[in-house]
Amino acid sequence: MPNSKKVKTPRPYFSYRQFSIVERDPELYREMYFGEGTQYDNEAMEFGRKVHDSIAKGEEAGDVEVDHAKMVLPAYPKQHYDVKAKIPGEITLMGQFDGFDPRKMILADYKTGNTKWSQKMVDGSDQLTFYSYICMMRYKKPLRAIKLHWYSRKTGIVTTFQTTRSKIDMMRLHPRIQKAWNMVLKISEEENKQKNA
Amino acid sequence: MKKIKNKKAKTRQKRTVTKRVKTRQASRALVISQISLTPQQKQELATMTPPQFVKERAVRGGKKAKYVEGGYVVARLNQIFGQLNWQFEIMERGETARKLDKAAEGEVWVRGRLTIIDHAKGYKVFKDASGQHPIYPGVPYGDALKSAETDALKKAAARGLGIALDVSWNQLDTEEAGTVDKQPKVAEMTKKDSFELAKKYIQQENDRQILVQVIEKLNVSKLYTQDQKDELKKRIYAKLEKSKNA
Repeated sequence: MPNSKKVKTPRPYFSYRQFSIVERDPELYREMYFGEGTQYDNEAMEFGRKVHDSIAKGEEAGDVEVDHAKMVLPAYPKQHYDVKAKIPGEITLMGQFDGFDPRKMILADYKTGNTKWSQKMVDGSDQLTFYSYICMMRYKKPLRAIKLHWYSRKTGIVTTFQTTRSKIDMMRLHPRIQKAWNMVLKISEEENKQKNA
Repeated sequence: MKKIKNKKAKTRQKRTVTKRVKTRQASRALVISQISLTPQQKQELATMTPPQFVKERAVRGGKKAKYVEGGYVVARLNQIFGQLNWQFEIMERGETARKLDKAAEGEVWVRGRLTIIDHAKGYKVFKDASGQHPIYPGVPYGDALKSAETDALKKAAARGLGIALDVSWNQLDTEEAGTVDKQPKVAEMTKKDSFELAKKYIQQENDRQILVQVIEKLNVSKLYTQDQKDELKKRIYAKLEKSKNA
């Protein structure tokens, strides 16, 4: 397997976005991170980004729908908070938490897309397990609660789901992260070779 | 004499190398300027997939995935580049014992290459992608292979050129995608809508901390008039009082 320290990867960390893309389709990862880098955003993604930006800046965007979402989405002591943690296998995980309360150890994630969220989906979300794993490794204690706030653009209402993750959930995710990271290293090595040739 | 000859040879070699590098750079520069799409093609590629061409099918776990048919991709390639200016070929193919569903006997996979050709300028652009399809008993092998080829073509066109990418990208956005929120959307939200929704939200929300946060947000918000803000605050204070007594 390629060595993490020797191979130059597109990012020095491994985010959930990278993980989900490379696990689903390595070729798509290659295209997105080594290709021309064309971004194809749909309207829902653009709206989500506007809401996240507005919350991160703590300012109203001047768009009624965005400002309404900002008004009804709960705030946390840390908003749009980047946390990095090293996990076994020389992998640096990075998570951008929409909301985080380090004192109470509560993590929040906002969803503004078209997906209709349910408790079952929240309980099985890999993204939340990924974030829990980062918190566990970074703060050496488990999260007391994980909250997913789903803002429905259809109703303008926020629905909150609460969940937790056990150490077993994180241990189950680890081999998948390791496998996906190895794929990133392999792709990076191939692309770097091609670039230098 | 020998030394002088060697020096001359080395200088000549250096010059040749410099020349080669310059030629290479020049040819590269030339290629970069050549490989470009016309504004009309760019516009066509950026067009969102019309909803009538977006299909849905059930996938594992009772979920639904959106897709476009192979014919749509072929029609778009023809429309954007012309029938004679693109080709799709299979570079590699194989089989695996992987069973995507119980009825399958295995799986056939292909690696295909979509080539866009500009005959006038003399360039080709390659976009590779893989596709797969289960092999079912009683179904001709050729059918499974054809489906895998179509899958590869769709992926190459989506990733390489962005044709119908918005369909699969939507799935990417809704990562642990389940059902889509089918409730009718509030058309172009106005400040009045927001105010009415905020009233409804306050009525539903029971978390005291969140309600207190809303008061703080209202103090700095430009979304509502002062009267509307007072109305919302009044409702929140009533709710807080009620929950305190409870």
